[in-house]
Amino acid sequence: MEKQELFIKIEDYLDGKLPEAEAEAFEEQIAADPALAESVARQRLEREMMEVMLGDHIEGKLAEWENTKKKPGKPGYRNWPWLLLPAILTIAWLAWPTQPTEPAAPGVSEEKPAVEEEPVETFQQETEAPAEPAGEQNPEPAERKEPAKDQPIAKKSPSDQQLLALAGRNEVPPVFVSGSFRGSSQADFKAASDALEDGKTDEAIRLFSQLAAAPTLTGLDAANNLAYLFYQKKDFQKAIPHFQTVAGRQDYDYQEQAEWMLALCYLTTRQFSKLNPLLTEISTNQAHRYAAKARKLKEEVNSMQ
Amino acid sequence: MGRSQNMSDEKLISLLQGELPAQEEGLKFMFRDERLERTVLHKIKGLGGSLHDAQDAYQEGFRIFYRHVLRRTFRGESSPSTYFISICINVWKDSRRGAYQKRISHVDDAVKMDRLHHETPEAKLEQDDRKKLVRQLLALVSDRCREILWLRALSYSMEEIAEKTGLSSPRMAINEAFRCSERLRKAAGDNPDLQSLF
Repeated sequence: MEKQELFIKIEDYLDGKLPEAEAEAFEEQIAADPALAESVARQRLEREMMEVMLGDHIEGKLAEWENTKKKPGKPGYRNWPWLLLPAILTIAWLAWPTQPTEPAAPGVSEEKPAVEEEPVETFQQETEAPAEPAGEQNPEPAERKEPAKDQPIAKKSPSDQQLLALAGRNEVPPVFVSGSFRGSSQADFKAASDALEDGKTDEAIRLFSQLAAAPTLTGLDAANNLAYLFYQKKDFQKAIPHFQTVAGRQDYDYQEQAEWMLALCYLTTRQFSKLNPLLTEISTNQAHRYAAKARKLKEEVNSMQ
Repeated sequence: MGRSQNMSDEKLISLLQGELPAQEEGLKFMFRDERLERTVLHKIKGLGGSLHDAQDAYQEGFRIFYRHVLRRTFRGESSPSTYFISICINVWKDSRRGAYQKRISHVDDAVKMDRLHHETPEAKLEQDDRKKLVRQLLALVSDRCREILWLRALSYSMEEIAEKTGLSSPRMAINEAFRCSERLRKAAGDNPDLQSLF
């Protein structure tokens, strides 16, 4: 059989296009002929390469399109200034020094701008909000500067709920290491893993904490598990040092995942000064499995800040 | 701004069945169609899914649909939105059954959606590690071979590949593809990690 014909036959075989009997006969040939087996393996690998090319292309396009897409039920971030307008006007009106209705109802002046309290899912409502304070725009806009100085409006940042929702959308499944019982502390690690498996979270945290300090691979596995346990409990501050430990070990199997989760912890705890460089680092590393996600998250975070 | 107000199904199908730029024009249009996204979310929530599940299914469903279009397995026999919605619902149902995701797979069958093995986080990491190696190998492949691989990934026939790459016949395209295949191991060089891919 000529090489080109063989190439086509292997393609047909991998596509499942060969009749059953012919495919079976071909498989016998493959088993008996190492050179043929290698050709099949090569062409199979080429298909993996095609998958990766397609996948990367698609992720790139989706990230590009996502930037210009308005989420259903949510306004685009570019509309934020307009969404803030009613809150600005309301607060300016409430804080107006010469306002005749100065003694506002108790508590009213302490309210945060409504937009900050809105959960993401109800954010859509804000698009209709500009109509509400329309009748309250009597004070001349030129004199709004004083009240505005006391309010956090100009530096409005996303609410905790928004950050949590954003982190939630970017979470990846936790990786609990359970099979690496190495060294002298293997019994302790197993006990901690058993507690985790039994749903005894606090016990698992206690046991893994005892192991996490050790400068060993078991210690690293324990830190990894602890990080995810704290993350699941939404105790992001406590998760951070453990994710940092794991993310700092380039040779660790789950380092990239820990790095990504560390970024989400920074996000939920508003540590933007740490989040931004970390996202840049991840997104510029083409080989990083979360590079595309990091690029997208960075853009979302930038548009929120 | 719904899709149907701006583009008929016929026009959308003709885009999705065209060349890559046209396909992506159609895909981008669908991706930005808020009403289509809302429909998917609404349908999945109506079936008992959470908003989060529905959003996941929409995103994963779009990736699958994208592949169907680029590989020309979307034949335009039904409305693109109907086809897409059914993919999303299947993805959601599949996720409920515990499978991690559905994809078309060149390795198994270029036509039907084929469920990958149930992915544990460990299995997924293993798969991701392999992907990294595949990317490294891709970076070592010549531009010419990468171009041919890309056209094959888009399910172009050897006739079309010959035409697009300036080769005189489909047979020449097969020869070129074969040579590229043969060079793979050489491209991996002495790198034991890359050699492990074979």
